[in-house]
Amino acid sequence: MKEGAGVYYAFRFDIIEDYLPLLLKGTLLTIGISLAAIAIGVVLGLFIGFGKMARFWPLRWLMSGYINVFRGTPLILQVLIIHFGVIPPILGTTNGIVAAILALGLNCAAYSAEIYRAGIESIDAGQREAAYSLGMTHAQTLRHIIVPQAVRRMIPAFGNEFIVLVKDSSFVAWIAVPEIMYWANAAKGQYYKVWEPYLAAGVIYFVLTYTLSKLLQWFERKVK
Amino acid sequence: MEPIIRMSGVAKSFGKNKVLHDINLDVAPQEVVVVIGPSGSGKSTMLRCINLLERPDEGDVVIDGHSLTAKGTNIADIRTEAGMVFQRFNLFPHKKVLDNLTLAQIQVRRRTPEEAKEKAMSLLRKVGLADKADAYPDSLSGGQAQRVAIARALAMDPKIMLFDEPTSALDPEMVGEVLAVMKELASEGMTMVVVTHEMGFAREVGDRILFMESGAIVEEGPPEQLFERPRTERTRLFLSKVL
Repeated sequence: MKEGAGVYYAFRFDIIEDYLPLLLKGTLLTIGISLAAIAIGVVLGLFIGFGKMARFWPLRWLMSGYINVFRGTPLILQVLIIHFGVIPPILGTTNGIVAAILALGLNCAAYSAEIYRAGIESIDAGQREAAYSLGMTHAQTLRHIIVPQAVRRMIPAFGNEFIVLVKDSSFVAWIAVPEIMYWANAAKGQYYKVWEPYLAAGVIYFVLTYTLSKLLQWFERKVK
Repeated sequence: MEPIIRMSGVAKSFGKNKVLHDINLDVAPQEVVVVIGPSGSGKSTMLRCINLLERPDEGDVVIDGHSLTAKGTNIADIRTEAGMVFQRFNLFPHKKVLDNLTLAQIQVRRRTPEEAKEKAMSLLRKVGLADKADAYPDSLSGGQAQRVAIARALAMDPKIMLFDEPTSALDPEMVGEVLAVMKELASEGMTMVVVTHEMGFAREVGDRILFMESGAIVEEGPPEQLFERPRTERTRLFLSKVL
């Protein structure tokens, strides 16, 4: 084989083979970080979303501010600030994985809050009125009438958010968290090859997000 | 006799639009009051002020001796005594018909699931829909849905029943089945306030008719008097359009 011709037709599977164990380890880390961030986002988002709907205006104002800041600035900036600015004073040292989970989780919370709010507000006012007219309290109405219906409507939006989060977790390669993108970059650096490592990373991300979307579709059917 | 509903000096605005002016109304136990009037006259808002789905800006509402606007009044408790039937049924779509009827009995009245189910089934039989207990509201016709909604309100053993244009969203052939249930209820001595455009029902079932326009009660009286010999020109004009 002539030198140089390989650019076009010699796809170097050996690079992928070489990096496969690391890419798979990175995949586990991507999954772990994503799950942890989703857990933070979904729980924190619930409080932020309800806070934004509160009657007490300072709380509403504060929660709107949170959402606007996290939606209005780049995720990569949030990752860098949390990694270099927030985590060191707390832990006494940098910790990429903690910073990654925190940044992605806080970001996810902002979007989740809006999903909760939109879901709750999409329920017809007549549902609330019917529950009140039966003597149900605000809390009972939320728990038995509003939330169960709203959750069904939130599932597709949450699915979308989770898929975005898995993909966006690739940003944390910037702070040297050894997830999928980190190892793809490393392989590119070592072999000066673009297609092999990046295509491999792309396939892995696609498998992850496609599986996730199928899982969510199944879940959506199940609750309907 | 002490009125079971007393509205005194009730006024309500939405923004700059004043929809109720100084409403005074006493309803006696077992009385059937039918409220008629053109769209936008404040009929529904008045009805919704009775169970505080709308909060009056001025005045007071007293239900069975409890002032709804007094401090320390538990609104939810009093709402339990006032069943409401809505134009658009407002059944809970995620719950089976039976669960629509049992939920508040269990949560609010603290009945056991067995008691609640027994009560629910007897009411579904009463409205002719016992076979729909396990159906979801989506599968019901409009008339069936409204009968379920009436049964749901009755399951709480309310002292009064409020009807907010209960047949307005129904296809014409389904109006009769809902009115029949309401007639039966009236004949059993339920206190009812009914906002409706069904003049035949008003005349037949109403003990007293209120004619409302522009947020005020223009005229009231027994059906024969109000329909046959209206005292005001505005009532005459309205009746000439709808009868």
